[in-house]
Amino acid sequence: MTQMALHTERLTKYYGDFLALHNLTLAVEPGEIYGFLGPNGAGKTTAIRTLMDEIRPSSGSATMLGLDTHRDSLAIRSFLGYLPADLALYPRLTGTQTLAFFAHLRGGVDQEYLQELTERFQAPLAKRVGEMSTGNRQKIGILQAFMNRPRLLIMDEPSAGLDPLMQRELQDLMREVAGAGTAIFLSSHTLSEVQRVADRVGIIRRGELVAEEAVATLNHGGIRQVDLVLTAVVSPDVFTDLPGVSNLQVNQTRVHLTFSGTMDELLAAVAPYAGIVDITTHEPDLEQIFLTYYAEPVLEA
Amino acid sequence: MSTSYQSTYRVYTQTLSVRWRSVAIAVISLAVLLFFGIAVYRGIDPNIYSGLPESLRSLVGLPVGADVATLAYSAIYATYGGLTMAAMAIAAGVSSLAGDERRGLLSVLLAQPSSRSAVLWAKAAALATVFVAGVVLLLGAAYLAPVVLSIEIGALSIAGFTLHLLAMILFFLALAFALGAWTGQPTLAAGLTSGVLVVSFFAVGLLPLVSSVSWLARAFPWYYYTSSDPLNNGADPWHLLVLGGATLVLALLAWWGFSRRDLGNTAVGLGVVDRVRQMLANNPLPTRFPGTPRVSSIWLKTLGERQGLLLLVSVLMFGLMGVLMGPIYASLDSLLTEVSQSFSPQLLAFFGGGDLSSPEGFFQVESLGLVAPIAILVVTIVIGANSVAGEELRRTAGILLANPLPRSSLLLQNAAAMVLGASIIGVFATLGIMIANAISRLGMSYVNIAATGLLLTLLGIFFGSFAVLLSGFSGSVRIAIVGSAGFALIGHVVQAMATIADASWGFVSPFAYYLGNDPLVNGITWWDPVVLTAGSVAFLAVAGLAYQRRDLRVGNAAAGL
Repeated sequence: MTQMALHTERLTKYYGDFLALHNLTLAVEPGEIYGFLGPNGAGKTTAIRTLMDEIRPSSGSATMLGLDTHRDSLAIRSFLGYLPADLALYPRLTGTQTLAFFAHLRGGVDQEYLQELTERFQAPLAKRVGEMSTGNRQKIGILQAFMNRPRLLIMDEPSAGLDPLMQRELQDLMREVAGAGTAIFLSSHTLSEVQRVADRVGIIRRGELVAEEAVATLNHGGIRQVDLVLTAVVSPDVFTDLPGVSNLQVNQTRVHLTFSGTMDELLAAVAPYAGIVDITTHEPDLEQIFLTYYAEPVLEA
Repeated sequence: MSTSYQSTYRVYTQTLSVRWRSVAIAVISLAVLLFFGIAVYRGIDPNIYSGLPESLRSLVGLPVGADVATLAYSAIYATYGGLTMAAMAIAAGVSSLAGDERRGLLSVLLAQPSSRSAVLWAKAAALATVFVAGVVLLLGAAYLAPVVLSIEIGALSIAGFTLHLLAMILFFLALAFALGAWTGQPTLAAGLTSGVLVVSFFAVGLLPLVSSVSWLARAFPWYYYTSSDPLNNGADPWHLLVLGGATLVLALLAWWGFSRRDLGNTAVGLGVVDRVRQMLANNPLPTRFPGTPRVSSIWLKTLGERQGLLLLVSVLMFGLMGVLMGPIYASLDSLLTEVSQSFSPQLLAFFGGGDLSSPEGFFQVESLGLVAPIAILVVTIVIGANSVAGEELRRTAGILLANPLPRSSLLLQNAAAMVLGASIIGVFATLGIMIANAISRLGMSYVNIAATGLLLTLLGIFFGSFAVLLSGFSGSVRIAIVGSAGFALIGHVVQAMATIADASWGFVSPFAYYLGNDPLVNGITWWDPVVLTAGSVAFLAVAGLAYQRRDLRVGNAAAGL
């Protein structure tokens, strides 16, 4: 069996009485890009900070390349790349000094590779970090995360502040290093980015993993967008009574809905009330799937 | 209520809510110390002050006709209280505007329907409110203490003195606030204002002794706080007017400068080394000092970040507190010998534990007793408090510890930087006194000077290690700074009180192991360095354990208090 690059087992974290992370169990294989999705406050950053041994789990455990994230955290960090959310660096150091500082802590890095990355991202290394724009500061963060050719990369909102060209550059780089065997754990709000680069996604809500699927098969549940043009106006109840319908919008004879059942069921439901002039269906993108998950009512504790 | 007014009011209340705690802690500590001080002074004979010449009173900061209460109020409120509250005012004045700008909070505030001027005045008003309330509390304690402890305070003008204290605090608050408002650089503003405070305190103590330059003392703000002896003579309206007028001018300058300049929450000043490097830009020399050495390890980077502070304190200790003291003592020698006979041994001990007519005693009173510990503690506490909590405050702890760097190493490397910083200052202080000794032929033992320098260094390391402990334990820079400074303040007062009361409980104070055994006269007593070193090692060990086990804090959560 292949050793997992990252594996968490019932990882749970309480802040006082507040349950921030609940029984998180997931696994990332070497060479895989795992998209970790969730709205603000869902527990994404708590999960990452627990993996990074910044905070300690209340229960459960996690391993990276077979090593315990707490007990073996030092050994893990020698093959790890990390880019935290809301990146902060040392404002008085220049980009060069910042990278030299982190490189020293790692016992040195391949300078040629670093130079290559610098040119690729057009990072202005001579400037002080405190005088850089958000995007340029983020580039320094990206460079330090990749420069030691990590075997596992953990990135929290890595595209923050980057322009579209640089976002694309980062996505290309992620695919390249994943192709070379690096596992990437990618937390992001930029769903198009996750859809473009990730092999699998996990969706977290209120500290719990509510869905986990390969991006390629994410729509096996059959969720699709449906636009109908009918011969007569039909009561919305006809659709709301049908299981699997969400995001319903009825405008006279035009109906838009998200539907997870079969077309047969939908047509059978409409047929007694109106004929169908036109029907169009679309595969939903990740954003729509994401919204579908979060449109579901959440049971209050 | 208009939106703009609501928004401004919110800035006022928010500033109040952030600032009141640390001022309240300082005020309560000072009030407790006042009770303690009066209780101790009650046990000694106040007649020991009779016959002190004016010049000597100026030197040690004692008002005419000092009795038990006067001495307690002078020592606890005027000196410790004045310095503590002025330092608090500087920290608050710098942090509330320039600090918010650096942290990026100011741009958020200014996005609200509140003008720049309104934000500035709301913050200024909130800070003034906090310190006025703090001084009112001190006033209450000053009236309460003699009643509770059954001490007659006679004609002492507590209200008059308190007005001077308030005016002095507001002046330093305004100076720090204005410099922060003008430059947007909290470190620069704090450094300059602290420099004015230290030089001012020192100048007002010494300049009046030399009649030809005594008028120069008027150039320093501390003069208008103490020189009219408000505790005995009541408030001096002219002196209050000078401080009040200067405060008002500074506030207006703050508003004028702040309204006109560009704001930049990421503006960064250059370090001293970088400035030198820039000056030498066309010289081949700088190529030998590329940018990387200061980032080749944690401890070097920490020292690099504190280079300005280290340089300032080293120069102060070497020049002002060291070399210059030699000629000053030589010029006062005969006067000091003559008047020293009017001192009781108890009183001499209080001001540093030595005979004032001797060079050793003079150095202890003027340099080593108060100023040197403050100077070295500022450096070690700042470095110690920031050691690990500083990384959490500026949100760099996560990315830093993502490298193969054990938490214990981060803590110990910063502790090493603190030890090195203390050693640099200790060496400069020692060399300064040695040079003074040589050029003015004071006849002090060089071995004893070195021993004293060593103890000063170890004292700095002791409190720096305590700051590391609080930093490692709490993850809060502010808790670490306030806690360590509070410990030092209480330690100094306890040591002074134990000495004057000739009590045996002085050993509980760390300061007892610094000057307690008169190292300048007697040389080193073996247990002094042992106790200070053992305490430091214990603090660091516990700090390491605590830091290893706890969750890291993020951003403002690490500000604490």
